[in-house]
Formats: sequence, C-alpha cells, structure tokens
Amino acid sequence: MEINQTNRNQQRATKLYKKRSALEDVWRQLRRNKGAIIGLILIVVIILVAILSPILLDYDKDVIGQHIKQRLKPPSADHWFGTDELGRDIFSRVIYGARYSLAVGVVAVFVALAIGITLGAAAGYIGGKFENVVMRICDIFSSIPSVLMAIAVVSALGKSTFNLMLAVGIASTAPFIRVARAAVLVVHDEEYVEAARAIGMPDWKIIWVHILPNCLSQIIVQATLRVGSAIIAAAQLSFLGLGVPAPAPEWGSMLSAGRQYIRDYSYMTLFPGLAIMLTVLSLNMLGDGIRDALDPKLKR
Amino acid sequence: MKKHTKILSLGLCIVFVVLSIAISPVSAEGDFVPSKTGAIIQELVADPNAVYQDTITIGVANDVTTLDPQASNTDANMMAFELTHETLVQIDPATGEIVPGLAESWEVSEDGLIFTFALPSGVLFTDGVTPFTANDVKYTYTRAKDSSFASAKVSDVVDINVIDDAHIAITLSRPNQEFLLLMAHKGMSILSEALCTADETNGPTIGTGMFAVEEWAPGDFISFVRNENYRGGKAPTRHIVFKLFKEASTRLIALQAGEIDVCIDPSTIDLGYIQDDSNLQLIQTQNVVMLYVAINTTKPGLDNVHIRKALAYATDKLSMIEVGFDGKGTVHNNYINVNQFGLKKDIAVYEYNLEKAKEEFALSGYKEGELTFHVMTDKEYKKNAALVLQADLSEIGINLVIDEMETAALKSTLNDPALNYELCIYQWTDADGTDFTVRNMYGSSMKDGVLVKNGSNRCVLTDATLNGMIDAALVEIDTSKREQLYFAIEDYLNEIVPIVPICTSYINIGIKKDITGAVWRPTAKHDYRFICIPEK
Amino acid sequence: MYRYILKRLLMLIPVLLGVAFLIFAIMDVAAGDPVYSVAGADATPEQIEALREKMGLNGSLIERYIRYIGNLLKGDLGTSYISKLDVMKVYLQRLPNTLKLATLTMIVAVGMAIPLGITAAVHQNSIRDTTSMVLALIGLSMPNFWLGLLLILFFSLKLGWFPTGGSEGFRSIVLPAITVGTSLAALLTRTTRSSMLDVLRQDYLRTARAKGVSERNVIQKHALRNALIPIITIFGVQFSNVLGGSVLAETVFAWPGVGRLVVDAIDQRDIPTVTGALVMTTMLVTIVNLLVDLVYAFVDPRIKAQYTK
Repeated sequence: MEINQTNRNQQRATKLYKKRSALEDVWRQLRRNKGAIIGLILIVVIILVAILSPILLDYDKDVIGQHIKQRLKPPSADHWFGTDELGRDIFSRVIYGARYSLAVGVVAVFVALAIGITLGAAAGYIGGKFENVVMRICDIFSSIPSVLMAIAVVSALGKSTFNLMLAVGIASTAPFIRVARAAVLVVHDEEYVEAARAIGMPDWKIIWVHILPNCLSQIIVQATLRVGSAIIAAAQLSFLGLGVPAPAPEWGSMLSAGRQYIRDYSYMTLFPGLAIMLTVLSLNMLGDGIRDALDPKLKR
Repeated sequence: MKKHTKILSLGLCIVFVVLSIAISPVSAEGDFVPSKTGAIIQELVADPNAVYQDTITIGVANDVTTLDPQASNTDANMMAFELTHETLVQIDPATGEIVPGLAESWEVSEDGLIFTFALPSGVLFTDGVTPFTANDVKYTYTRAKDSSFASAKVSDVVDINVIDDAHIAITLSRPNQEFLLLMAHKGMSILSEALCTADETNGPTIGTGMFAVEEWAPGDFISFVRNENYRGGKAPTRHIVFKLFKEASTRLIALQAGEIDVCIDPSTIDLGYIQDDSNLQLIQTQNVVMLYVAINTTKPGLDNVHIRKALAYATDKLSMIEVGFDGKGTVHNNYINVNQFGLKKDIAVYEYNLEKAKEEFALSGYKEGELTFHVMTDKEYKKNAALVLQADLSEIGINLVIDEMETAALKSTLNDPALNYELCIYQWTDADGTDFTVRNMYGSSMKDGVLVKNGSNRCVLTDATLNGMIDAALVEIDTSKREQLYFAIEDYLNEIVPIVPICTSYINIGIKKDITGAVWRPTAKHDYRFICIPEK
Repeated sequence: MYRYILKRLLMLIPVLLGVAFLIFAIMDVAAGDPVYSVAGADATPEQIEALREKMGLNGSLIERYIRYIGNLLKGDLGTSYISKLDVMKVYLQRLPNTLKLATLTMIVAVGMAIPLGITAAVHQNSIRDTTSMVLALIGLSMPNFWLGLLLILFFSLKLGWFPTGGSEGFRSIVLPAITVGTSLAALLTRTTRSSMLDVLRQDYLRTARAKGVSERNVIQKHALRNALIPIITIFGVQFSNVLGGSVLAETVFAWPGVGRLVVDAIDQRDIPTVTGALVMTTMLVTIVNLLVDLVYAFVDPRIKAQYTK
C-alpha cells in the first residue's frame, strides 16, 4: 500500500514537472514569434477593454443614450467615431461592443468544444456502430454550410444573445468531433491506455485522464482559431438581423444599421468592421503562434 | 333604378369635395402636384403614332409573393394584379369617384341591397382563348368567400344571380355604403371559372387585364407582357418588369446607373441624389399609410387605460419621424387614415410629455420597474421608432424589450389566435372605406355568443358599444350625419387608446425624367398600366 | 474505383436523409405557425384547418418527414407556401447564379493565392514572404460582408467601376466574387506556401537542381504539381464555405442565388423552400467533395492504387 502510494506521488510529481516544462517550452517558442506576441498583446488589450468598459462608460447614457439632434454627425473631437442614426456615440458603442463579440465567440466555442469532444472522443473510443452514427451526423453537419445552419438554428430558437451563441456553437461542432476522434484513435491502442483498461478503470475516466490530455494541444489550437471564426459568424448573423437584440451595441448589427447610410456616412460602416477585423486578426495571430509552438512538425 | 347610382355617385362626390376641403394640399417637394385623392397622375396624351420604349423596369423593395389575387393583400402583389387583372369597378385617382372597370355600368336598387352590373361581351382572358362571362364574376365572388384574405369584403353578399351572360345581380344583407369601394379592391379581381377549375395553381394568375405574366423568378424579378387584344386599346409599353432590390441604397444607385427606370422608395437620406441628377425626377406625395403602436389590450398592464395613456404621452412622434424618415413625415393623431371620410381634424391630442406620462402611470397603480413589455418590429424604421419609445418608457419606469422579427414571423404571431404579443409597431394601409378601416382595426363580431375580434383588430378590442357605433355609421345615408358618427367613433377611441397613432410619411419615387403615364398613389399601390417613355 | 464511387454515392443517402430530418426538425421548432402567416388576418378556424391540410402540415413530425422523403425520391421538393411554385424549379432557377459566383470565386481565390503562396515559399523569410503572410492573415480576419461593403464604397460609389449589385452580366459578379474569394484566397495562400515549402525540401528537387534544371522549371514542373494535392483538398473542403459565404455576399450585392433564396425563405417561414434548398445544396456539396476525392486520387497515384485494390 505504502509503496504504491509513494509510487503514485512520484508519478504525479514527474507528470507535473513534465507539464510545467512543456508549458514553459511552448511559452519560449511563442515568445520568439513576433506575430503571436503582437496578437497576444492586442487580444489582452481588447479583453481588458471589454472587462473595463462598464466602468469607463455609463451604459444608459453613453452607449444607448439617444441624442436625436446630434444624429449622423461625422467623427469629431466630441465623437471620435461620429454618431449613428439615433445620435449615439459610435466610439462608446464600439468599445462596449467588444463585450458582446468576445462573449459570443468564447461561449460558442465552449458549446462546440463540449459537444464536439464528448461525441468525438466517445466515437473514437467506443468505435463500431456508435462511431459510424456519430461520424455520419458529423458529415451531415459539415455538409450544410455553417452560416445557413446557424441561420436556421437561430430562427428556430428565437432571437437572443444566448441562442446566437448556441447556434454558432452548434454550427461549428463538426471540426471538434473530428479532431477529438482522430486524437483518440491515435492513442487508443497505446500501452498505457490498455493498462488502464486492464486495471478496470471506467471508460469515461480513461478518456478524461489518459486520452484527452494527449490531444489537448490540437484542441487548444482549434479552439483559439475557432473563436475568431465564431466572432465572424456571430457578426454575420447580426448583420442579417438574427443577432443580439437592440439596443445592444453588437458590431455586426451596427454594420447592418450603417448599411443604409453608406453613401454619405461611411464611417458608420468603417469602425465596427475594423473592430471585428482587429479582434479576429489578433486571435488568428495568437492561434497561429500557439499552433507553431505546440506542433513542432509545423515549425519552419 | 339608374337614378340611385347617380345619387350614390353624387353622394360620393360630396364626400370627396368635403375631403378635399378638409385636407389642405400636401407640401410636395417633388415636381408634381397631387390630385385631391393625394395621387400624382402623370397624364398620358393618347397619340396613336407615338413610339414607346419597349421595356420599363421598375426597381421595387418588396417581392411579389403570389399571383393569385385572393391569396394575399400586400401592396407589391396588388400592383401586379393592377396590371394582370380587372375589378368590376375602380376608383378614379383624380376624383376618388367609383368608375367602371370590367363592368360597363351598374344600378343599385331602391333599398340599396341589390347591385346589378352590366358586363361587356367579347372579352377574352389573357390566355387568348377563354371568354369572360357573368359566371366568372359569380365564381370569383363565391371563391372569395373561402379566401382568408378576401372573405371580409364579400361577407355582406348573400346572393349572386347570373341574369344572362352580360348581367349579374348581387344581393347584400344590409345596405353597405362602401360595397363598391370594396369591389374596387384588387383582391376582388375577376378570375376565370374555366381556367381556375382546370388548374388551381395557375388559373387564378390569368385575368382580363392589360398585361399578362411573362416570367416570374421569385426573389429576383417578375416580367409582364402587354395584352395586345385589350378591349380599350393596348398599353403603350410592351414589357414591364418589377425587379427586386432589397437595399434602398442599391436600388437608387441602379436608377442612377440607368439599370432601371423607376426606383420605388429610395432611402429618405438619399433623396438629394435624385434632385441633383438632371436625368431624374422625384415624385413625392404624402403617404396615407398610418404607422402606429398596436396595443394588445388584453395583456396584463396594457388592459389598464392609464398605462395606455402613459404610452401615448410617452410616444415622441417627432423623434420617431426624425430617425425613421429623416424628419420627412407628419405626426398622426387620428385613428383612421389621412384622406378617409370622417377624419376628425380637431381630435384631442396626446402630446409628447413625460410628466403627463408619469402622472398617468401613477394613476395606474403599478410601481416603477414593475412592467416589462415586448414590442415586435420588422423593418429598420420601425425598429428605430421602437428604440425611441424604449428610451422614453425607461424614463417613466416601464421596460421595453424590442423583438426584431422577420415580417412573416411577425404576421403569424399577430394572426395566431393565441395572440401572444404585447405591443407591435405596425401600419394600416387601407385608405378607401372608413367602415372597412374601423371595423377591421377596432371591431369584433359575435361568434357562438361571444365577441371575437375581427381580423386586423391588433388591439384585440371586443367592445359592444363601439361595434354598435360602427354599425350605425355604416348604414347612415345622410353624409354629414355619417361624418358626425365617425367623429364620435374617433373620440371614443381616443378615450380608450387602443393604439397610439404615430405618423404618416412620404411616398418617394425616383423616376427617369421622360417617364409618363403612371399614377402614383398615396397608398403606395401605384398604377403602372400606362407607364411609358416616349421615344424621341 | 467504380466500387469506391458507388460506395461513396451510397453513403450519400443517409447523409441526405439526415439533413432533411435535421432541417425538418429545426423548422418545426421555429417560432410562428406557418399557417397563420399564409392564412391572412381574416381566416376562420375552418379555413385554417383546410389550409393546414393543403400545406401538408397535418400529422406528426415523423409522418410529415416520411411523406417528404417519399416525394423527394420522386424528385418532388414540394411547393412554396408563399409563391405556390415548385421548389425544385425555383431552386434550379437560382442555382446557375450561385454556381457562377462560386466558380468565379474559386478562380479569383486561386488566381490570388497560388502566385502569392509560391512567392512566399520560394523567398522564405524575405520581406515578400512576410507581406504575403500578413496579407493572408488580414484576409482571413476580415468579415466578408464588411469587405463587400468596403468594396461597394470604394469601387462602386467612389470610382463607379462596378455596379453595387444586381445580376446584370459580368461586371456585377466581380465584386461579390472578390468578397467571397478573399478569405478563401487567404487560406489557399497559406496552404500553398506550406505545401510548397515541404516539397521544395524534397530530395528529388535537389537532384533536379543539381542536374541544372532552371529554378523556374523546378518550381513549375516539379514542385507545384506535388504541392497541388493539399491545395485541392482545401478546395473541396472550402466549397461548402464558399456556398455559405455567398449567402452574405448575395445579400450585400443583391445577387439572386441559392443563399439568398434560403435567407428569404426563412424570413417568410417558407419551409418547403428552406428544406428543399438545403437538401439540394448539401447534395451538391457532397458530390463536389466526392469529385475532389476522385481528382485527388487521380493526381496522386499512391491514393489511386489504394482504391483500386
């Protein structure tokens, strides 16, 4: 018993050590990548802006406060990004909008992760008929263009911020199923997994403890890159009028509102679009960096 | 019996004279002066030697959704039926009088219950072979009884008697003063019995009109080709195309680029581009369509008249016009449409006043923050109006949630018997019969011993007193008494506030300078039958 | 080979059945009973029931689904609730527009991506490489509808070179194609670069160079052909995204394609059109994927050998 205990502690210690050194290694790699660092700094700034915006701005006054007499004013010292059709300050709205876009992107990816990993890992592990069914479902999902899929889901569930997250999440589940399944298949027959099975460890625990950590890197890369595309997908839905309900300052719906004023008030379409691009760009730069750092094969 | 027709038309004439005095000419910024019905008529001088441009393309904002006149009542479809079908009678856009349509003349019996129409002979449907007979009228009106869109218009019809091929008598259950107005509605377009029974889908799309449908690509365009055998002489233009551009700015650019000849409803913010372009002309007339906040008076909170009055006082109509139509609109305080008979000009006004709104709110017994209402909107300008209302209501302690919906979903929620809505920014487009308006918007009917709201009664009023007032006004023959009755109805409504009227806006149309022959109606249902560009 | 194609075609059947069921179920949950939006304000309960039957909305979800599949096998997608037109006919009316857009999109994407990717790979770590990669990143990060709006602003409104929308000839397809093509181009540029880099390091290229083959020839004849395989894969995978991306572009540019058909039909709760268009589009995507796989096999003899076994 005692020996066993010590052994386990030792094991845990090595594991921890290994993990830490792996993380350090990744960080060292990442630090060398200029793009990734720029992306990281940008995304941290954007996250800070999103977190701090309720402190910096009064939502009722600055973000949704209407000043009909001040409507459609071009950028000036008072209104850096100008005002919109209801006289609201576009700068404040863009700043506050970071909260919505980031939240939608992150939650959507979590939804996709949760569904995707559960199904994918189970499919890879259990195999047989179950795997077949899951993979066919995966085929079904990935052959419907994801925008159309998300549109259909939102229009079925009704318009709300949460449903938007859910729709975007569901529509981007398929790649996670594939990644998780592939990763499970790789380690499925490894000795340590068979050993765990031999000592009677329950399947879910084997998946959770032994298999998933081994495909973590791929999942992290996928997730980082997917947050960006989830943000774009959410903006697309908002643009089509299926997004966050008014008067919330979501970037996609701001673009949609600015569209009819594009001829004379093009700044209304410029700034929210730039905000989306910058956010997604920084996520992509960071994601690329993480991928290169985690996956030595792709290093150039 | 002929005498009666004359009396009726004389009566109608008086009605419209009164109307035209009551309504001062609108201040049109465009290049044309509207007629007394508010329509802009581009008179086409008939010239048998003139040559016209082969095709006129009209850039429209709303798609044609059906070619069956009895299957819809949207403006876009009505404009198509104006081209392809005919009604027994029609309304003269210059005078507002009822004039012959497919019927050559009509007589009304002494008691006002039997309408006898004389029909032309030798008329063919646009398939070129099917002849039109009195039986087709009977078939059409009988079919209308089963149509959820047209049935209200023929609800008073109790008997249709085909006298011979050229005469038909229609008997009503009560002397409806507006029967001919209803028969002029495009939903009552005459269909062919033979064609409809042979082909249920395509039969109704064929009429006796000046045009026939040539090609229809839903969501893209619909093209019409002229009926070369039209009995009154063929139309000047051979092909008319409605091309769909959902985006107002794109539509106007297409007009400026010369891709289309007419741009319906350019964005108000872009009107300067039309005025600055020497090749274009702006048609502008006051829109009679009323924008209003429909209140479901059966919902908790909204069943309280003080809350409804608070809503009325908190409605900043001027700001809504500003954000919805760039300031180009007119505040509306009445419960029927502009230009309608019986519009009470000096109705008491709930002016925008948050203090008074707070007072009314205090009287309601509700506490601040206790009430949350959902308002349904579909179009951008309605959403903007709702945003203005949202900001003002939050001042008096009422939360407003805006539900942006697709038009179809919004309509199905409104029509669903569950009536699962609270507020809705909506519009009333019909501007013909006052009875039709008040009966549909506010009336209810007895069914199995209970009052059930009428179809378009979006405020879900079931008020027996009001119904009595509406019935009394319908059968009153004396015009001035009838007008007083409608004034009383409006005052009654103004006390119970079932809706908050907001405004009317302007109809704006950009056209190429050479276009003529069209009739631009204040109801946004334009008549393109004679639209053309004469070649020089 | 034939057996492989047959097998893939057979696998299409459960996928399509699944798509139809998925769409069916989703639209069933959708808020608002479609009957009421079709029926109009004055409909009586009897009219509503009659209409429900006529629209094929009676019965349970499964019953309706089975009925639908039965009709689908006969090539009948039903009739639109709104226009009463045959959905198949309307779909086929729109499809050429979408295919035109998709084709030009692919051409635009390849036209931008392959030269950029090759340049980047050949001049690895140079300023040209960095510029190409930054451009590709930006292209990937730009929401395409926003790009569409910017293109309209600049090329239509300011310069007047292209129309803002419509379906009038070649000029009106250019901007939508660039709009949809940019993100695909960005993706392809990255793939081209990395797969070229892999190939350029291979021994046989070194041999070719040693033998005195000009650098230009090395790249064109030897490297590119082998680098094509991953590019084609991406191409196939992205076809579904091109169709998806065109939904937004079709909305921005008023292009009457399949994407807008679906969006409009969802607006109108026109379920037969939504279901029909999605089923048909899925079928198209799957067939294209199959074709890509076959081309793939053709390009790479190793894979071909695997299948013929």
